[in-house]
Amino acid sequence: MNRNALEVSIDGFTGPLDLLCHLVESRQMQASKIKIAELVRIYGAYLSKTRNASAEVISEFFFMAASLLLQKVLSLLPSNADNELDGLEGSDESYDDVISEEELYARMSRFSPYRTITNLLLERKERQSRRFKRIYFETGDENDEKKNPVYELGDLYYLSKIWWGLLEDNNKKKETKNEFLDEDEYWDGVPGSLPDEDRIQTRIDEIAEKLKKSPSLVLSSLISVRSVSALVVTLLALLEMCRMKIISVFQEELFGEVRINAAFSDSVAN
Amino acid sequence: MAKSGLTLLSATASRIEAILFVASTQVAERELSLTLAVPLREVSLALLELQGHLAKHAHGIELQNVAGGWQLVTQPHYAEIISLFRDVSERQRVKLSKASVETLAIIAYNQPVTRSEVEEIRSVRSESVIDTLLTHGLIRIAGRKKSAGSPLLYRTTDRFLEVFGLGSISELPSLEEINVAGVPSGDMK
Repeated sequence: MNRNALEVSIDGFTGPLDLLCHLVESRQMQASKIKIAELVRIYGAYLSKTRNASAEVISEFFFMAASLLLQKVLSLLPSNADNELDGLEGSDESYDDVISEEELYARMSRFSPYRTITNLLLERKERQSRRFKRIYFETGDENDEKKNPVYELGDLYYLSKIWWGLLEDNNKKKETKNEFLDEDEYWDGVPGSLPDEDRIQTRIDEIAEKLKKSPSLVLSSLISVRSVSALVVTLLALLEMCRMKIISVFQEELFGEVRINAAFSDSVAN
Repeated sequence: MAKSGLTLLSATASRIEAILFVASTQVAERELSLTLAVPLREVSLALLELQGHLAKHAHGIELQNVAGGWQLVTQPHYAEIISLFRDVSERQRVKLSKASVETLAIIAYNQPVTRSEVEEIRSVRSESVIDTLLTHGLIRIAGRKKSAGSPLLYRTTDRFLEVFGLGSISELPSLEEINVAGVPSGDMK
């Protein structure tokens, strides 16, 4: 093959097979007459132009080229050369993983449709990238993606990842807010267990005792500890006391203090 | 219905337009049907009506069927204008190398598929490419193959369909169609 006749448009090959397929499809090289020297020269030129090829990419290419070269060498030797090579004294090389030309053609045939699909997908992506949709700013945080992970049912890998993420967030919150929170408040968004009737009755008794001393109280005075469960139990107790007509509850202004008045001093006393 | 040369949308199509305007992701026809309490068939017809209406009256947005749902997107020919507007285009841009798209193509057509099966087709190591695709949510792990070493299996996600503007994976041509469509397989010996 005339070197001058071989003009390759170097435009982002994904690997040696991609390059080989390109050369064959553009009829710059016949699949049955692959010139390894030409292949190495072209790919070398491509790699030097891209300047960002990893050692891994280069080694993969040279492994394939070396395999083909070895195959050519073997084909030049007498027919029983394979056996002799295998039996060379002191040689522990195995030639099992050498790619034969037939294997290479099979690989190229199998790979070739995906080159077409890749180009098709790239075209679709280019078209789609010209369409824009509404942007939502949920928290204004650059790490939104981490906070709003997407997962699909059955994907245990992602579920476990999310679980660990939540646990880490939770532990951080524990460290910073520990002094304000009860144990049952650690899991934001996860409802705690409902308070049992005994706790509510105990709370009713406590509030009734306080009302005996002072017939008018404010809600904040009943909640000494900043705790969600204490607040829930107190509110349930107050609702129950309202239902029993033991107290009346007023709030004079929006978001203002809630005032609790003993409705009937006799009822409270009893 | 015609009024002053303009075609008015039906009530269902108008209501769908309003829902899609506020939706943060694509909306499935079934969800629209449940929300509006109208039959699925009516929703399908209204969507086509809305799609036709937006196209006919040269709107700046269009209705697109993506990943099993519908969404309002800007017209492609306004891409340059939008790229000048704040950082909208930059935020929505997904940068993928050709190797990534090639790997996605192999996964899309062979899913569920293991990494070694992908590498067998590509003839190059694909570990880092697969990690990148996982990170971008374009593929997901779909279990383990019942074979030696129980390798992980990969599948494409709805995000993949979104990025490539596909309603479903079936919109891609089959491998047979690709081969018939002029891939010079004859040259491959």
